[in-house]
Amino acid sequence: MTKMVRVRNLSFSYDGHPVLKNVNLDIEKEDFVAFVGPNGSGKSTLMKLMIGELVPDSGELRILGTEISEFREWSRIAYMSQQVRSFNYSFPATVKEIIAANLYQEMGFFKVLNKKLEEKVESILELVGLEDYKNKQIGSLSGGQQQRVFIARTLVNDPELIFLDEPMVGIDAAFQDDFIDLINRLNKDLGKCIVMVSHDIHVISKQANKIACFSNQNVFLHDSADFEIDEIYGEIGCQKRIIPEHQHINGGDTDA
Amino acid sequence: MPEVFTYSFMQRTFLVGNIIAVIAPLIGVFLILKRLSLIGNTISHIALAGVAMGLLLGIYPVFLAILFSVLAALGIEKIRSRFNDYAELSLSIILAAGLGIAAILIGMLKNSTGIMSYLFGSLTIVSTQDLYVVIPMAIVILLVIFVFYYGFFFLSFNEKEARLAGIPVRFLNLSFMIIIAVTVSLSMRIVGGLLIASLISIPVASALQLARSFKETIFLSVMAGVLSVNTGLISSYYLDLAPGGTIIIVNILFFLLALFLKFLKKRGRV
Ligand SMILES: Nc1ncnc2c1ncn2[C@@H]1O[C@H](COP(=O)(O)OP(=O)(O)OP(=O)(O)O)[C@@H](O)[C@H]1O
Ligand SMILES: [Mg+2]
Repeated sequence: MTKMVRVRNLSFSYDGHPVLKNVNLDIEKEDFVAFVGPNGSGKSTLMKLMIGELVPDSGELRILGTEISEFREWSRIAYMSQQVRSFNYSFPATVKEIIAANLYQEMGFFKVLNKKLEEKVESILELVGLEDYKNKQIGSLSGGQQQRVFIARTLVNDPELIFLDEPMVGIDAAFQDDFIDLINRLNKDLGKCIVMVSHDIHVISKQANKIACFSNQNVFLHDSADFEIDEIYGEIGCQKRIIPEHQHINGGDTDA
Repeated sequence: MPEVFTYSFMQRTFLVGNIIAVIAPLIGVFLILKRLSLIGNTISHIALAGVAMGLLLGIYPVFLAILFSVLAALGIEKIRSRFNDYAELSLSIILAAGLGIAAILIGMLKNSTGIMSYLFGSLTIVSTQDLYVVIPMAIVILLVIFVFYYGFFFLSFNEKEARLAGIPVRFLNLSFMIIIAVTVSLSMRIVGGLLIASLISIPVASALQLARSFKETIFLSVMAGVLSVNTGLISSYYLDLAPGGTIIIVNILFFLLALFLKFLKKRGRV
């Protein structure tokens, strides 16, 4: 079976400042992978490499079986950026228009909404609890509501591989639970592959089946079953660390 | 029928005027929201150089204006997509180059009365030949915008992420630049090369004060464009004012009105 993502000896630097060195990583179809690691450890950078926004310095990167430089089927992939909310707040678009734009590939000759797609927009808005905000201007929504709109936009065109860079920032506890349920259903019932950057301990321990730790410009993949939840709670009690102290087989330390 | 519509040159002027009144603000919406309003200005100065060249060589000036401005537009797109951070600066330099070349060429013209109408627009110079160029091109432009409507929408909201929605980013960006170049060249006959950038941007500025959706922004911008062009043309015919200037001033009045309406709307809510 082809891997969703296959990374071999990948290195990347910003203007000579290395961020990732010789990274290896495999993501399988049924995976829910959590990217964890301190600020600036390269989580967002690796995601941007995986969606083709950045180009690796060296190494191999395959997405859905295709070398990234040749990959063209972008609509099979969804991505929600960490900066998703830094848009022009006076942009004159409604929630519906913002979500509809992601259905571009499903539109006919004229790239406009038809009845079927309109219903799709409505049902995804229901899913994130914003059905009453369809015709509101995106800039007039609260931060958390905007975040929900972008979650809806990410999911609306039924992607196979979903990258989420800290999607839950600013979202209230009630919807966080709904959101985790939703992501879980997408992963377990609909077989979507999820890759998510998160500092949230619940996601990491309960939902994700794999954990990718970022440290020392490298990435280490673990089975989440290897992490004991009690240990994690114990750790955050006294330190601000989310992942318990642990060793990486080929060197490196989460502290770095 | 009012006298103004009985002359065939005025009929041509109104026809071309209304076509421009629709497409200039329409492309303006995408241009302004991409924060690239300077591009309209830059291309219009390049187009002026094309017109001057055409007058000098005795070639149909609109043709050379289109040629010059399309080439410049493609160059601008290349610069813009590569060095986004300093796009403004490169635009200013290209604008200056266009104006410099235009000034030199205009200086070489023996009779400079012809160029004046291209600078400030005129009611009387729309020829039948112009109609054969303007009408088909306008149809193509409208078609392209509506066929790729949500593609252009996404590009103005977030160019970086448009690719992931399966939008052909490069193709649409290039098409859009060509559309701007052609629109600017076609508009010079009536509005004038120095004023066309305002017809692209001011109706949109008015619409943005009141619109509650993207669709509404387009609708209101085009309305403001059509109303201002017709008011401008009629009043310039009866009062013997320069049409381009009149159209722009009417647009400014609309903008002030939109600001006032917005103010009323806000007060009404509080
Ligand atoms: N556009 C950029 N130009 C130069 N350096 C950058 C750029 N973006 C990130 N970096 C650097 O690359 C490193 C990794 O950044 P990245 O955004 O991938 O971290 P992260 O793990 O996502 O952190 P966070 O948890 O804060 O989101 C940081 O040291 C950062 O300073
Ligand atoms: Mg990050």
